[in-house]
Amino acid sequence: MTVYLPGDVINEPSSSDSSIIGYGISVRGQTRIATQPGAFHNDDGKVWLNVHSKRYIPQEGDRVIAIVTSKTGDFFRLDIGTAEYAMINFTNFEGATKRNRPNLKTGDIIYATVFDTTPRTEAELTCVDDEKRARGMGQLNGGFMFKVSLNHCRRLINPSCKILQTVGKFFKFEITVGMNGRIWISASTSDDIIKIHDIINKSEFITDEDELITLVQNNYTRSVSD
Amino acid sequence: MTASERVVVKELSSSLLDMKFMLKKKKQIETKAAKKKEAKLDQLITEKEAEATCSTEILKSSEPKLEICYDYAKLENLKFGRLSFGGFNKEVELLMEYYEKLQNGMLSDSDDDGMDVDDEEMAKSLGGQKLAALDKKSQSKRERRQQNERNEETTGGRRFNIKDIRKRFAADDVADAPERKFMKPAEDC
Repeated sequence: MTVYLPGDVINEPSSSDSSIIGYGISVRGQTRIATQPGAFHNDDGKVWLNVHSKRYIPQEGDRVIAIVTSKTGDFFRLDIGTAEYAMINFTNFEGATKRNRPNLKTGDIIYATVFDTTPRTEAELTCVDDEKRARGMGQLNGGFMFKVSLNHCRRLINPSCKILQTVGKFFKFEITVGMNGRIWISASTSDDIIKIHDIINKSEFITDEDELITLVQNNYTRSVSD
Repeated sequence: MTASERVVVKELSSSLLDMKFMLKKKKQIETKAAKKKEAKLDQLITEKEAEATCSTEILKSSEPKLEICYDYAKLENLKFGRLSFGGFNKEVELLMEYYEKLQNGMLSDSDDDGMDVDDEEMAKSLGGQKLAALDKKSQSKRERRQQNERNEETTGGRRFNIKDIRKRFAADDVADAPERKFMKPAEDC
């Protein structure tokens, strides 16, 4: 694994025929220069840098966890961890019409998709897909929400990641991972929620599978009140 | 005579089709018309294509363009963010299966054809039927009460009419024979 700093020229031989330039890399003529510090990745004609960050920049198609901050006419203003608040129209919920409005209050948590990220304007979210179906998006009730780095969120929902699979064998729980560094978990008891929260936080710097299993087992058997 | 009197309606009127309950029929008619138009256009295009010639050299000579994509979800093929383990939330587990099919390209159109009506519409219609049934029950009770009230009113009306008749007779007697006043109390006793 190669790590690049901003300003470095990327001279990977396998990346000469890549056609998709990803995050953290900019093109100057025939030269590719890193603009963010990160580890180099390439896969199937794509090159990008895996950047460790805690501040989210909205991208079209990302699924994020948002907090309702206020209501302005037909729009709800949402905090998704960006410089500007995002917006969502009340008609972008499943089954919402002018007569049937979603019942959202300040402080509610919703899981939504970014569908418009024009520069210099607020990002716009939606809770329905092209067929006007929610497909799991909408309000998240109960549970516990916390923040981790964006890098760790991407790792958790990577298809080859084993963290959640291992935790799922020990606990019964539901988890929602947002691309903006927020994770929402819900379990039957508060003790389980605390244990799962600790496991997810500590697993950020664990790369060995045996070490991960040990961490999960220790948290499973431990007593929270101690 | 009977054959000539029959009227065959080939097309429904536009005002009827504009009504809400005819939306599906209207869409069907429009799609059929659109398909016919497309077929005609395809025939025209095929006729013209036989004559036309294409030049593909320019396209081949162009260099492959670089595409910029800052979306990690597309770069790393990330999966759906909502997950459930151990049967904690059944709906989310169904969603996990759906998104897995969607990502693998195994999602077929027939899966979604099962639900022609949204859940809310179905719930409303079922609830509406139940409410209608309840209304019928309540109406029947009210009807019974109303019938009883009507019976009472009719009896009251009859009594009232009888009284009126008696009063009228009394009035007539007074007008006709004033000398017979002394005879009435004896009859009443």
